[in-house]
Amino acid sequence: MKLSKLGRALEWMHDHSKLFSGVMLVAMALLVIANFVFPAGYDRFFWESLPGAGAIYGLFSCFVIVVVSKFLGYKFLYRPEDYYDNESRSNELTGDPVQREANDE
Amino acid sequence: MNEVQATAQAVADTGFWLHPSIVLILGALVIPFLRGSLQQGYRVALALVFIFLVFQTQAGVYGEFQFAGLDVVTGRADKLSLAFAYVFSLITLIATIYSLHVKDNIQHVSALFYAAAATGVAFAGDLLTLYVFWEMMMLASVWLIWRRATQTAYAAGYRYLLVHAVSGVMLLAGIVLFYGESGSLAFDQMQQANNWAFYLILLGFLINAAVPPFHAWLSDAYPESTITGVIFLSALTTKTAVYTLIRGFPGTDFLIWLGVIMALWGVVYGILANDIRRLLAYSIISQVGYMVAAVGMGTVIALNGATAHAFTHILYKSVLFMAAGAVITMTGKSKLTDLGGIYKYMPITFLLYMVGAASISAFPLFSGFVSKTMIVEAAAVEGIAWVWLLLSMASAGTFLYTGLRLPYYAFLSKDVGLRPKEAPWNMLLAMGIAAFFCLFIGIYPAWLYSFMPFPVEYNAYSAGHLFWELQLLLFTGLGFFLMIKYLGGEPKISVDTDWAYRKWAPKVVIAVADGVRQTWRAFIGALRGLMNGVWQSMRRTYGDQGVMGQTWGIGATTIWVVVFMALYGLYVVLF
Repeated sequence: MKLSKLGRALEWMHDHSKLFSGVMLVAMALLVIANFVFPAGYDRFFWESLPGAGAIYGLFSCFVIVVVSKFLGYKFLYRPEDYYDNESRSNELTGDPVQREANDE
Repeated sequence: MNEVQATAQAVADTGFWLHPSIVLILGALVIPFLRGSLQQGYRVALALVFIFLVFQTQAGVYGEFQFAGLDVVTGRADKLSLAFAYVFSLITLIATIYSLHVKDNIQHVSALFYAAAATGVAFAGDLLTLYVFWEMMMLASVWLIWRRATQTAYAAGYRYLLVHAVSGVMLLAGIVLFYGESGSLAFDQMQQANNWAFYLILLGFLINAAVPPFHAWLSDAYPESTITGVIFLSALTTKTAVYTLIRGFPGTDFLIWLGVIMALWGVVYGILANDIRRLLAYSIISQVGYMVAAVGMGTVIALNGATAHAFTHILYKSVLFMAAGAVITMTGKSKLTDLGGIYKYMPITFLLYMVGAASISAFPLFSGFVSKTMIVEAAAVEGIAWVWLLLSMASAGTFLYTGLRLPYYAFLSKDVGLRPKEAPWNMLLAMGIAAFFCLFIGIYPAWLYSFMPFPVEYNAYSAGHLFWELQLLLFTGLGFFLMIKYLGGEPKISVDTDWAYRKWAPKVVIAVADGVRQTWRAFIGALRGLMNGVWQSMRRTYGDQGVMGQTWGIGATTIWVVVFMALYGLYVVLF
């Protein structure tokens, strides 16, 4: 299938993602360094005046969220995809109750 | 709030005001009589007229009359209600354009009724009017789910209807009690003194705002609704509830924590979700959490933040849902596990999605940044550190699952062989308009701030906010790529509180039904046994073989008759 110009441009970026992630990492490092040079200007909480606190909290949050979510998922929340399929079948309360009780046993 | 109401009263205008909702409802009734491009043109024109009427509305109180001894105020417009009405009318146009190709009159009419009802709630001057529009919203919106015409959509629609019916009943009960206690139907800030009324009305609002544990109707029904209907759904129901909370319950302390729980609840399920529209539905819950928390804080900056965030949320969330809908329409797939590698075939959809994603993640220059940081800032001003930290964490989570996980696994990642065409022009146009507003508000927040209920003295673009947000988001991104192999879709579903009424309650009902029937059968059985015993013993005596039931031979009978007659003869002779 023929790609549009925009599609081709995006494909090029996708194929050179190493380059872009390198640029991104440098930018992130510069951002943290800049935070050391220019103070944030808030001090309502102690961490607001710590340079690089946002970066640390971002990584920390990401880690906590993924670990906690996946833990809850595997431990309690995940079910097979057909878990609620009983709803698209006809109501279990209709039909012959004797039959149903026989099935239950 | 009082200041705002005072201004509204001051300009109280008993003059004529054409209620935009009435016009929209009457206008929608014409749609089924039109066909083809005439109908399409009419729908766009109607949405434009609606926008015009809403933006024409002046602050004031309208349509006051006495009815059966009640003071009814059908219309009240002040800065708060206007802010919500503005964005409701904008989204009506955007969603109409998005659904231009759809040929389903029921959907068109019910969607516009729904939008009219939501706007009616925003303009409602008293609780009675509010209630009428509240119920109308429910009845109109359920069709946007049912018209998907699948078995699951049908069931989910019924559950949606039932939950909202409960919300309506709570609200009505609260209103009746409130009227009984105060003799008034005015909808202003509720006083906690009216205990039952206060909590019943609040509960009605909280159910519609999808506050846990009453939130599961949203993540249950929205992903099952029609591709175009969900744009209306995601914009209207929860945001009218936010409006009513801002109006009625500012400063209700426990809402802060409910909001924080809500924001994080959405994040957890967003990380687990596999269906892209279910993921986005959970991100509504997460974002509305910020607004609920802000209502709980109740300060000027917090209420401005809640209003601003509702405004921007409606726009960026519509972009996200529209892009997801375009993907589902063009590929027929809705799960992260089935999607991948389509970015180059749907590049415009992908880029517009990323605009919405950057907005919801609160990247600087996008709309979420100027509204979400206002709520977080409100927590800082109040000095509530835990709220501030947890809302920041939810921000990181929002970027993680809406801004990285969904686009990475749906658009990028491995090519699964899908070769979709780009979405049709009307879908792209609608997404483009909404994305334009996301950028416009992010770059020029003064436009948004001019609609806020209180004068805004907040600067989102301070060095502190920029440093914090950019670091938070970019390093969350780093974390995403470090943990990427744990974040793909899994072919599973996650149970939520709707488990209670989808699995547990049916089991209980069936168990009770079986229990009752078995007890009854045992009782009848025992009774039959008893009757049988009586019957058997009668049979033994009087039956064929019984002493009393046997037939005797003629000879024996004659002998016995003779014997008895002889005995009788003796008796007569002797005594």
